[in-house]
Amino acid sequence: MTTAAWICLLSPLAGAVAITLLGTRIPRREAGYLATLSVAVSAVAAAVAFFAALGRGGEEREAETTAWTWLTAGELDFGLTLLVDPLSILMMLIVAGVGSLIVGYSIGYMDGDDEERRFFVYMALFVFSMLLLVLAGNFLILLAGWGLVGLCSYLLIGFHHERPSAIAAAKKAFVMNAVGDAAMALALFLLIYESGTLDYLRSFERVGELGSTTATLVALGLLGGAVAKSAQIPLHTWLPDAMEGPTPVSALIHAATMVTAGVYLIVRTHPIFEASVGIQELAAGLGAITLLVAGLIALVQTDIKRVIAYSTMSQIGYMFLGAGIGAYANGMFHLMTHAFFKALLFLGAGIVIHALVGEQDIRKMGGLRGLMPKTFVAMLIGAGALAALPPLSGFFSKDSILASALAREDGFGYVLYAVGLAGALLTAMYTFRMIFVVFLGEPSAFVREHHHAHQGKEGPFSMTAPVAVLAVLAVIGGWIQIAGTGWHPLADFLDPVVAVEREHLALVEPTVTQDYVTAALSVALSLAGIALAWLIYGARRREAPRQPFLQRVLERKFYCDEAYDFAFYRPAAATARGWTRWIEGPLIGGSIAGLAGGTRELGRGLSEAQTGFLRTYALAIASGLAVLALVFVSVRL
Amino acid sequence: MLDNWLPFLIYALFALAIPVSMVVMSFAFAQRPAKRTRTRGLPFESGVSQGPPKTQRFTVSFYLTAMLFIVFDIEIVFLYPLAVILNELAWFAFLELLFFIGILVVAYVYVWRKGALEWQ
Amino acid sequence: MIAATTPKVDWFALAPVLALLAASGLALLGAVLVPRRRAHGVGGVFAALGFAVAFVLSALLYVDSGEARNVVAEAIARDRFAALAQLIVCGAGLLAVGISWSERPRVEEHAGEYYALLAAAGAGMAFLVAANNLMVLFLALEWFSISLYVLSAIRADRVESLEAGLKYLIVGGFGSAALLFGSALVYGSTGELMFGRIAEATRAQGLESDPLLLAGLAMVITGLGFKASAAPFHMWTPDVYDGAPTPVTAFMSAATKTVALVLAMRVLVAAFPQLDEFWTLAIAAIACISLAWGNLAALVQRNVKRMLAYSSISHAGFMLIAIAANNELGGRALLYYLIPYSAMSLGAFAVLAARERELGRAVALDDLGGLGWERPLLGLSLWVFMLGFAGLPLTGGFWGKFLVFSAAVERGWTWLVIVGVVATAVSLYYYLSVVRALYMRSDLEVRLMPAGGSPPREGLLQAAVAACLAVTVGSFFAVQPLTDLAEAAAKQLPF
Repeated sequence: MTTAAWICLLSPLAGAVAITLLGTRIPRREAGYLATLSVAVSAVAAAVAFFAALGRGGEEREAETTAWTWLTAGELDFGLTLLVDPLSILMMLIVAGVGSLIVGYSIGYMDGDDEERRFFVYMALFVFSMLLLVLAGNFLILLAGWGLVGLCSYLLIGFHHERPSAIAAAKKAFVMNAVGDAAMALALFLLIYESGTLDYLRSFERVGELGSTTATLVALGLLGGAVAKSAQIPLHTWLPDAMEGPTPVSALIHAATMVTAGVYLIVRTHPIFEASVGIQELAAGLGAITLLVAGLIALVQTDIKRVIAYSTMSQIGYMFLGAGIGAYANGMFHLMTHAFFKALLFLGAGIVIHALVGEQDIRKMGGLRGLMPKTFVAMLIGAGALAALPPLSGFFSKDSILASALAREDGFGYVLYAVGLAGALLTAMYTFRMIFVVFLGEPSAFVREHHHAHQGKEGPFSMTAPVAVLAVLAVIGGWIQIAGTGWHPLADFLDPVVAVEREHLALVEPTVTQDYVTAALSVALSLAGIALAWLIYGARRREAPRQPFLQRVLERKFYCDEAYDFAFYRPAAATARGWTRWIEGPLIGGSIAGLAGGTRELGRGLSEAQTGFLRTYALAIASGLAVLALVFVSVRL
Repeated sequence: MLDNWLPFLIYALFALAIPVSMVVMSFAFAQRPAKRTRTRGLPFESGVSQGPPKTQRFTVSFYLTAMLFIVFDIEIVFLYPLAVILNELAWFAFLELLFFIGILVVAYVYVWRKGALEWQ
Repeated sequence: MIAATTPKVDWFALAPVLALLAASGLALLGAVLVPRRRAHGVGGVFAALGFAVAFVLSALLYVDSGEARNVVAEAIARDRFAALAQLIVCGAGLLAVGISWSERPRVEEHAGEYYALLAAAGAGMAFLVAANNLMVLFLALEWFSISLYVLSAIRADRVESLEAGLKYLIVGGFGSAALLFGSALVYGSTGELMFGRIAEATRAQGLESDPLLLAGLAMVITGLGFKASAAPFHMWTPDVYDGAPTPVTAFMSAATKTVALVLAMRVLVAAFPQLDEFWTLAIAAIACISLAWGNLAALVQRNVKRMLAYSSISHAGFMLIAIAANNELGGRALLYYLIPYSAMSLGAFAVLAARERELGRAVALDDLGGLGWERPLLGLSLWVFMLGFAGLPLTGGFWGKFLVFSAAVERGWTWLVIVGVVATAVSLYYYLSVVRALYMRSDLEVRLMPAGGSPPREGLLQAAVAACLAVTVGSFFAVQPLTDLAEAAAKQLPF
């Protein structure tokens, strides 16, 4: 099991290194093959680890493996330690499995790009970093992986470095994530300081010994990191802009894997969150707000990738909600199905964009169903799963989260439940709005002009095959756990990790009735949402309701960017300017210059003492000796 | 405690007194010509003028050979004490002796082959 | 009748020294017995072989010396502490041979002697770190010092080289005299030469406040501080480092510092445990002065070699902190730190040697412009060495400083840590200015000074630099095994 984990982790790294070292000695296409192969090896290794774990009993599925201990300082072990347990195996499967499909897809998507090699190096590096993050056995490795995925995300968002907007988006993502990373790093240092160990398992054991303030601070910091990485309110504005990256990047990093790292973090460190329930409920609350707000904004977006990006935020909101109320298995379940159907949607959108020579504005699209029937089916499956229609995967996972919220049976639970249901309605609306606008109706002028069929196909095999696989997964992925029937192998699998102590949490096991009620309500709302979308966008029987104010608010994404600009950037810039002008210039600038100058002056003085004359040197030695001897002797006398 | 220091102190005082007294006395008792003459600028030792400078010179080879002689000579001197107790120390001393001479031989071969012994 | 006893000679304990001595002798004979054009090759090969064999022997010695003991009439300490230091010296010597190889056209005339002296200096250093009494200490110190005096002046055609050799000789004589006089006072006070017995005698006779002993201690500290180029006994360092041929400087900066510091720790800990409140404070004060002086003076240097000389003074200060801590952690920190430090120092001077050869003159900061692009390996390596000196992560310098500071904290001297951190901050300025010169110059600023014709054969130099790079970076990752080695060695000192 641990060997498989190591292979899984190192294979993409080896791929990235190999492509870098081989450089121009291999053709660009082969770089793609190499990257795909390395990630596929990872996926196989992950599967091997999974089956190996299945073959063991519950407790034995948890294994720590240390490659080498870097430094031992007292009880602190700095080591390259991996923790292989059901949670990390599940993440490995998702990351490597979906990753290999998406990297394979990129071969076709990126074909002909000037810098394919760089792309594949980054992609393989990303998969490695993400695996490092999920396999980390201590906080140091976690931080390393956390930082590395941020770096890869930055590099890949800015992949088209000739576009200023891409660079700006990359910077934005980096800055927002830096805020989160800093919060998280501080939290981890505090935790390490208080618990005296870097190790997950040992520090979780000691969570009980932490003071409540410490626990709250640590949980808050971790939540900050999770919120930034997962693009939840209030650190969410970078994700839509991140769509500047190539579409496979959006699918892999900004939908299936990296952005869900926040959820993984909460689940992984749940003992800490359970030690400060307030923060955990804050996570659930933030998730609820995000799912609602992102759903509303998605309604008016016109860029196909941004629509999906907002839906990603919204769905991660559901996961936060689940993790926040202690329904970890359900959150992870949704994480998994979401990875399938969201990657499917992005890759489908990528095929559309590819076919339309890079156009992403849905207003210019239309009537693609006839031209790209297979893509239409794939997107339809993805949209159905996203809108939680039975029997597609999203139905099972989303409803189980909502039912868990209902099962809290307190005010907070009901609010979350109501928000989640409203979100379901919105999800169905914006999803099918996109489907209807893009695929139904007559082909638009733009489509007629620009669509060029790839010899009658909808893309090369390397692109269509992953989409087909993901479509199948998006259909069947939810069947591994069906609420209300007692069929829950995934929860059983994860149980040793996530079900440690939850007696003080409100019970999150919904009753069968609650499950059925939830299912019925959410399906009804989804259908209503689809119907609304059909009325407005599909059949175009109704004018879209005109609400100029509301529309503008939504189009400006609730003025978040502007608000941040106003609240942080401008005051900061103004303060900085004022500081420079009124304080730094006269006071500090002067004194720093004075300080630096003084230091240099001192240095110059000292080197002037270096006369080059031996007598000076001898004098220095003699005086040093004299001082030493005199001090020694006089102290004793 | 101070007992330890007393010899030091006396020694230090003497060390200081002698040169100081020399300088002071040369100022006090010297009968200086009133005018700055050439004789006055000449170096002297113990009040006696050096007389005309010696012109005899030695070649560099002399110094080199002399130095080498001293180096090897002194090192060979170390063999004498060893020879005195060679009986008691037996093989140990003999081997040490060979080792010592071996090092000298290396140096000797070097000096010889380098041409340092040739009079130029 | 003279009662003569013969000491039992543990030849294995002396083996690294003897191997180097043999190499030196062979190289010297090679200088006169083979035709002159082959002398360089023969000498180089013998010296390299000597260092390599001595390296292996010291490694064996380390493995075999699980228990420390004194051999050869208690004059030699056979322990891991010495063996580890010998390993560093031999490694540095081997790399120095590699760096020197490309100096061929310049030392042609004295090639055999050059390598013979290099090996002899190595032998003296290997002898010094194993010294267990004051006599061996002085003997070994002079042994390698005299070799280094001559090596500094070996380029007799360059007046700077001659000046460096002469200055080193005269000031070195002063330092040695202090050490010798100090030893004499210590002997006079305690009647013992052996380190351990000095301590015993001090305790038994209650000599803790004997002025003779204290004055002797002060003089011993002075003499060792001189060799370690700690301020205020350091003033010869910039001149000698600058004037000596650069490969010699590289060897001196790595190996001399290693042995002087290692021996200082052994003498102070083993011979003067009762006087620790004196010497720990004295060493701490010297460390602070070295840090301040070295860093401040380095700030204004334009000549890179001089800058590195001052940087080596400040590093002496850093490592003296480990000695001042007077605990096992300090020993571990010192021995660990010396490994990456030696590599960085050798490597940095090697890069300078290569650049110097291209320019045909001393390397100023501006002359490094574009080196990073022109000679990627050398540029990258110099960059890493500078980061290592500054103690940034991904180099062993990081853990070195970390361990030194933790030793000081263990002793309860947080103030010393603060001094160290401030010094590091200051040092960043000039280390990074080298990096800036290497890479961050606009094209207009870069004045490329290509050599006339292709640079001389430098395969070995590049290999040596690559090896230094590997050690510098490798010691960051392999910190655990290396600290384990260092810890096992430090345990054998009587802290």
